[in-house]
Amino acid sequence: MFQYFLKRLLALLPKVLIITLLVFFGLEMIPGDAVTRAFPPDQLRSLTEAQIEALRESRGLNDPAPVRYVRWLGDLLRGDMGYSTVSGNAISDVLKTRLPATVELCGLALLISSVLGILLGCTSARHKNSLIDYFNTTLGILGTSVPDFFYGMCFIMLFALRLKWLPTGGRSGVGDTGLWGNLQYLIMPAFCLAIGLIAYLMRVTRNSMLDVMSRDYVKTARAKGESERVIFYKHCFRNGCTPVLILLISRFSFLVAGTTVIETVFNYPGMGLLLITAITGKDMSVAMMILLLVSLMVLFTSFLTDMITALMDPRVRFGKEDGT
Amino acid sequence: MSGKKSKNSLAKRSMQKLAHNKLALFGLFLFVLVVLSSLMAPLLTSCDPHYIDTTQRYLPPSAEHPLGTDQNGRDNFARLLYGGRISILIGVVSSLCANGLGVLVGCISGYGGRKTDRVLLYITEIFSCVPSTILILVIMAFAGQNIFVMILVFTITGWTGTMRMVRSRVLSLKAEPFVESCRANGVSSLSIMFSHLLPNTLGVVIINFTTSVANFVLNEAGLSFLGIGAPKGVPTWGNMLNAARSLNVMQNYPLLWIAPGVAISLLVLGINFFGDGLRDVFDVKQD
Repeated sequence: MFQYFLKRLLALLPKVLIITLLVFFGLEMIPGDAVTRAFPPDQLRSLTEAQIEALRESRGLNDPAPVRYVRWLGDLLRGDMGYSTVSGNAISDVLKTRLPATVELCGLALLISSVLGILLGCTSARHKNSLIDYFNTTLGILGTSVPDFFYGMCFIMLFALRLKWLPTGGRSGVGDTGLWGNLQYLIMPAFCLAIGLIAYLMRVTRNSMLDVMSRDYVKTARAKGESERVIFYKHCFRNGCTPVLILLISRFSFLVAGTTVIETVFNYPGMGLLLITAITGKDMSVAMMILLLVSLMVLFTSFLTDMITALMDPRVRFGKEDGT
Repeated sequence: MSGKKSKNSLAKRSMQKLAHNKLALFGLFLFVLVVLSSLMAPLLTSCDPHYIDTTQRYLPPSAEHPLGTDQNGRDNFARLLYGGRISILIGVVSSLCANGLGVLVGCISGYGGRKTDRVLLYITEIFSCVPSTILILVIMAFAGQNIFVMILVFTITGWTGTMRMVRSRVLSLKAEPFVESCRANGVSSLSIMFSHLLPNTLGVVIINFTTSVANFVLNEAGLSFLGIGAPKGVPTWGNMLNAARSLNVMQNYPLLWIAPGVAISLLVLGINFFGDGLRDVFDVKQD
């Protein structure tokens, strides 16, 4: 296992390098002076042209690109992401407030989708080709066909503007304390974010459960006289859900990508909204950093998926790698 | 001659199978309905989707304006119909390009030697590391708002799925006796790849094509909704939905954003139902 772990970890490195290289290249393409991205603007304002030139020389901004790339990587590792060219804030400071908001949102969406998706998928599998099954399947296709932000707008219209049960957006208002105070802002965006994943998980769970239910050991259990309920929950459920859980983790990147639109609809101050405001405001250094961060997160989750799969299924560890 | 006949009968059998699938037919009907109504836009409405009349803002539905007018006094119904043209165009063209690229790379990767395969597969992996939505956003920000840029970006980010599927099909087909027989008869590699192996992967490609049309229509809507997709004045469904970002429009003029939202949903729903039917016909395992 440890050997496999090391092997996958090493395979990760070149990918990280290529992605950082691409982002570095993107940063280089940003029009304007690199000095404005490396130092806070109020520090620059008080300096003369010669001093700025000296600063540039001291930070090595006139060095050839490969040298600057390596130094930039070092800065990143120390948590220095540079400064926004528009607002002048340190990017790491901005992310520090935005990242937890997005993690909260994605976490709740992940919870909702796994519970609902697996539940609906299981009921569909248990009552295959029944009315419930058709209903669920149709619901699933509906879930992937309607744009998630359109759901969001309909929800805002219904629950926030008409019924006034929930706030239209934002993250927390004055006097909102306790669990409900925070949760009321999260429910609608998290649910909208989850809809696509629910539909996907439902389909995957249904197929996986049906596959397991036709296995020999289930027939054996049935022949032994176990009740259908015990067979389903004890024998099938565990085996049927393992691949689903792995797929759930691998879908994480879709959730993160979905936050851009959903956070905009609900005006939820997370990383997705930050990305959109950065892009519309031509604040490219911030946008590139978010791209980098999210790509690394996706790489890490794919690594995590590999590890969990290997833990659960020893064949993967020893199997020949064919690259598929 | 006999080969032709058997091919026909396979196609016929597939068609019959499809004709029995009610949901698939319903999907096809929805798709054709939406596409036809946007193609025949000039017949269905006499209004110009670009005509701005600030004295006629936010009109309620009437005989002249069946869905009312928008914040600039443009006819909402005309914008809906003409907007469909561009949204569908973006979806179909991007899907053609992305799947074409995927097929090309997939064939080469599957049929070419081990080294070629490794390199191409690695490139694919890098592409799928970066979440496409976010990559699209950043590229659009660099390149500016333009429909052609959008199609290009969708192509660059959307080809990897098809590539993987075609590659694995080609890899398994490569070992079949008919390929060896071709080679023994001196058929060139290119010809084996594209006229002998490719037709056998067509089922997968067609299904991928339908689903990616749906995805690209959704992507266009999402991007334009965010205000970084199609240029502002162009009527697309996403741009129409963009208007609803103001709470005033959202609350008081729901027709302005519900109409394009429903249109997108109907189109994508149709494609997905039809794609599911195709999946049954070609017997491709889901995921």
